[in-house]
Amino acid sequence: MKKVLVVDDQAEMRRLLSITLGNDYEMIEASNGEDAIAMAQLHKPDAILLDVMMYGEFDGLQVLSRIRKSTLGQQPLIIMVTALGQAAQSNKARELGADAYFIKPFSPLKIIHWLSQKLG
Amino acid sequence: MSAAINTLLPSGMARGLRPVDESAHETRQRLDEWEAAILGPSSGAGVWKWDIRTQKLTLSKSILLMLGYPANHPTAEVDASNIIKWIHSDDVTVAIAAWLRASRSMVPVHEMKLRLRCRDSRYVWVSVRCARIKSSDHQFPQVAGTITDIKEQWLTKEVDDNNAQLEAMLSMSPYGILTFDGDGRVKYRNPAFLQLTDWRTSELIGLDEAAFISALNSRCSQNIRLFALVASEGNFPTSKERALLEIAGSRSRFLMLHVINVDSEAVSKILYLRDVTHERISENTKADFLSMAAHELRSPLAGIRGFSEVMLTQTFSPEQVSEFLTIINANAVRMAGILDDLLDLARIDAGSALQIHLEVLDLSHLIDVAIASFALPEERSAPIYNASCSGVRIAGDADKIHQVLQNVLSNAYKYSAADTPVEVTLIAHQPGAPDERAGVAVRDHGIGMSPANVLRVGERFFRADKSGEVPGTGLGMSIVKEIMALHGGTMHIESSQDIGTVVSVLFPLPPRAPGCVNHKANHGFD
Repeated sequence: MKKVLVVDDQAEMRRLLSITLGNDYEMIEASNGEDAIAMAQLHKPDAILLDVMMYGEFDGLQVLSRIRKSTLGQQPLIIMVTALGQAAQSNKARELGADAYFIKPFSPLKIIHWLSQKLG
Repeated sequence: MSAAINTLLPSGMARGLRPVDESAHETRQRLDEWEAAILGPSSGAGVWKWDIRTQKLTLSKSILLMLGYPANHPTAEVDASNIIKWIHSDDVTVAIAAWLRASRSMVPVHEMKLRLRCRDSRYVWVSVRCARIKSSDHQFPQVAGTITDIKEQWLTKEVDDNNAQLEAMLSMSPYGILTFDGDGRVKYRNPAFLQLTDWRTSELIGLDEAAFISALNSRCSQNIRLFALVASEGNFPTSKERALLEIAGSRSRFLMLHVINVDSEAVSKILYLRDVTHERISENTKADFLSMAAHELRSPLAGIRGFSEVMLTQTFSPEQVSEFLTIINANAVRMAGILDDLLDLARIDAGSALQIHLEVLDLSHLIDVAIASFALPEERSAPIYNASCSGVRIAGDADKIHQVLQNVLSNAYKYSAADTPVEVTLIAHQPGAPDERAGVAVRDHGIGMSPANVLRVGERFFRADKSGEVPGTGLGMSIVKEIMALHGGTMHIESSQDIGTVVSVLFPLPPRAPGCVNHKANHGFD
């Protein structure tokens, strides 16, 4: 089963994404950027759903940048999830190597659909 | 001959005047001779004589020419009572007063400026000087003097006055104004221009357009290149176009530059600078606020949409359904709270002081009402109220102060553990104390804040909670801060991480408010 890491500082959003994708993927969770980087190295997920605005040392864009610069071997798909709607943010995320950018309130079904197409 | 006339007319001229009966022709001839001999042919002045006994006024040839009459015109000798008709209606009062002073007083020389009507009905500005001529019988039957055409002096003075007025207006103007002369060099700048651009006059005057643009660009921040782009080929924006500049340096500011091309030999361009820093910051603040508000509303909406969509497409146990419905409900409540807070803030921002209904309020009563109506979280005890005194009055708006107390109490409970108390203390104004304020302190024993976060309390959407587990909008303390500002009050925060926080709100006292009435003192206790 493919692994998906959900990174969000709000437990409720982690819960939503886990139940949305839990039937098809093995779900792991991180509540901040530091944990996300550590778990990405440890578990080598196939995809990461990454919140942009998070409390803590690293926000989502910094986590994205670090993972893309790291030598993980197989790079995961990274899907940014954010409540920030500005085009500048989404452009920045794409420049840093994000594969997709979902703006809250997103449709969980669309995320399922997108992941199933990419991960199978 | 009196000393008076000697001060009025050049020497020699005065010697010729005699207070004796002369024929009109003789008088006039004599005047013309004096005038030609002493004032000269192009002095712009003429002489006159008024015989008070006969009421005859005799004018020299130069005066006749000045007024557009031929030199031999019979107007040269007129009845003095008719002279009023020659004077501009606005100057008659002044002229009569001066005339009377001249004929009655001992002051040797009088001067007045007035307009005399010319033969073609136009008026000419003249200076009239006059003095009494002492007669041999010690009476004062005659007045003599000069009339000088002061049109040019007057015009010069008018131009000077206009220039002075213009200079005063430009000096007072908050807008920077700079002009280029016909040769395209900086000719004039007002003080505001120097102030806005940090330029010195000596660096500016005489610069040609290319040098000016280059120097102005060097003062602009790299962030704003609009003017640089417009001026990249050494040209100004076209007439009536505008460019936004950001002046770099310690007093960084935004300026709107307007360039007006002028079709004149003296002035080729006028530059007009307006400081738009405040508007720009305000626009940015609004944009940031809207962006933050949208972000805060998207988060609960994501929960509502996400969980409801998942529930519609998958099957869950009753327990899970209940859990998800609870999350959806909590998010809807949170959104409603954010909207209420946003509307409160918008009302405060829009109405400012107009919405405050100040009255004298009993602070203890306000605290009692706030505590009684506060919706206590489950498993929490009511605040401990240290009502050490009564009768403390403040000036405030009861509804808004109620909101302040509710928000501060709400935060105290949100950020402290269930088994810790929240304490409310009335802060009375001490008679004789310099600070004319009284208020309330709310203490919790909760998570507290770092000094950096204490400084951020009151920022819109700032939340001390990093976990996202504590419900809230991040607007409650912003509302408190704004309401306190409307009251002219203050908010103080003392906080230590993992120890707790004390929020004190202090309101101004009403005029001549009674001080604190201590319960113990009233009841005779020590």
